[in-house]
Amino acid sequence: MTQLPEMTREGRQATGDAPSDSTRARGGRSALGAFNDVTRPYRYILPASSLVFAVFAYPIARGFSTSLHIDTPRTPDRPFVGADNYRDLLQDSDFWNSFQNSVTFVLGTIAVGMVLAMIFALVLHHAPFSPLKRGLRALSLAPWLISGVAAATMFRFLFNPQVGLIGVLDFLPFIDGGTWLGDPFRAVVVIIIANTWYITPFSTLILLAGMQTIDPDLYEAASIDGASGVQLFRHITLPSLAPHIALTLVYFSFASWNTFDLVLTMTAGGPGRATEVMALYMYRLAFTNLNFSTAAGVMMVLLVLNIFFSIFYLKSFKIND
Amino acid sequence: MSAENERPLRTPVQAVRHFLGSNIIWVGVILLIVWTFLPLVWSITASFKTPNEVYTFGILPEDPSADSYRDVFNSRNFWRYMYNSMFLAVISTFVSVTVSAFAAYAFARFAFRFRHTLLLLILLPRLIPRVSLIVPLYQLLLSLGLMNTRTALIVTYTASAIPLATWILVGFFAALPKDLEEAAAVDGASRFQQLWKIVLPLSVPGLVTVGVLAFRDSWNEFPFVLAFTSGADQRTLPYALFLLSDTVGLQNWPLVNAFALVTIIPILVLYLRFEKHIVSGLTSGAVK
Repeated sequence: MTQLPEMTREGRQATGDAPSDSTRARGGRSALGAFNDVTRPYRYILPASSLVFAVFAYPIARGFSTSLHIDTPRTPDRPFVGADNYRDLLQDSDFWNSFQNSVTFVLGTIAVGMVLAMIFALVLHHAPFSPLKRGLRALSLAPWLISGVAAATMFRFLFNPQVGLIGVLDFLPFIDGGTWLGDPFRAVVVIIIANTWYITPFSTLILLAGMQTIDPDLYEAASIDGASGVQLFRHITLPSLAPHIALTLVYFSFASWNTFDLVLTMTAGGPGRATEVMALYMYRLAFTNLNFSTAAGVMMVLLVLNIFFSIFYLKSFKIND
Repeated sequence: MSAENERPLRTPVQAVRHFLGSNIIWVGVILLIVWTFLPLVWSITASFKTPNEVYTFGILPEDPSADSYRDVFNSRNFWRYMYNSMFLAVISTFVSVTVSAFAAYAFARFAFRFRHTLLLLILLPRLIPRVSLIVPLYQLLLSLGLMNTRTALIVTYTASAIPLATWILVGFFAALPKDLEEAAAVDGASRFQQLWKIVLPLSVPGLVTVGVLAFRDSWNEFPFVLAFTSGADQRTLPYALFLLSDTVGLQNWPLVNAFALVTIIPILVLYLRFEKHIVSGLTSGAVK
């Protein structure tokens, strides 16, 4: 999602030295053959681009249009109302509740997930014995394979005080055998933990890939100069990883702003609306309240937020690049 | 052990610090294993218990029984959901890998107008959260009469796999030397033959990577099934699991856990089989 500039550079290179099709054409090619050569790339791209257009581009345009009209079962003529839906949205306390929940959820996931991903990447990078290293790396991706619904099911079980691990741990401070998913504050904690568990493995992989590209000579030189392990991490690992940290932030925030399966299965937004994140709010507006126009407004807000944060992270880390 | 004798005496705090210092990597390894596997292990042991036994908090089942798994396999519509999941994942994987391979080949090998713009347009959806499209896609499918059809899911799953697949395959194809294709062209091989007989066989690791990624996405997909289908004919395993765990009243926890684990097995097998390709493919796809 973030590698577009690089891609373009690479693409230009490939174009530069690609032999043009006409140089391949052997004598006696018909006009039809020439036409075929010119249209071939477009024909090869057509199926992929039409699918992407139909499932992404068109729906976004349509969603934007819906957000400017009133579209409910009671208004079949869909009157145009301009920005009214957005104004309603900004005055809706449920919208701000879901926005706040999403912000908490995203920040919580990033705070916990970033630390864990960094620790795990260091562990995977430095683990002794190559079979252990390989095995750990393969298995650490396990949560990434699982569906959001299955992960949520497991965490609901884990945090059920009557049957879950949390019930066994009730001798620890802050764990008193009380409900977790039924408590407005604790439910937020649990969904953040579950989400972190679910999406950290991929971030770990990104950071690990970054660590593997750092020149080992840098560490050696610094060690000879007497740098400690912490200093090596602080002055070599962290700065060299800046682009990968930015990518990790993009991924964490992208995956968390749009969490749906996990929260719906664990709490369905409850208790009350304590865990109703934006995607859930949007779903409720559309499919429970049948208010498609306002739901489309939420969709546009989500899209803008996603793009804004992705660009923000990448820009703020480009400085060191 | 001569070093033993040279060790200075330590206070307990220093001893702990020293122990952590020299074994910090093992502390990390254990943290990684516990964090990653605790939820899974808790779920696995529970799935072999009886419904009442889960309330006793025993770590291991006293008398392990596979009854829950038998109940999962015998549950209403289970095999139909399994078939639906498999059918959708296989078809959308196959189609998305095929169309992405053609697109990627064009981007990697041809010079043509709007090349960069088109590539950008195909990659851009990676910035778009799928779930946010649920409302306009619902309206679109409704107006096309495609609600409650497998076609709706196949098309949406296929399209969502294309951007990443195209991106990874462009990288793969561009890295292949052009000599073989040029030699084949001299021998009269058409462009299609060059792609089919030379480029694709050389790119099997890349194709496997994008295939498993596409399979994983559609195998685990939930919001579209929830919003666009209403019958057992189209619904998939994640949806069935959602229904099962959403029931009010006393939960049959071993059954729920067994069901969740069964839904993981196919994708786990696929992953372990191709793990090496996937990790490197993912890394290059995500990081480049």
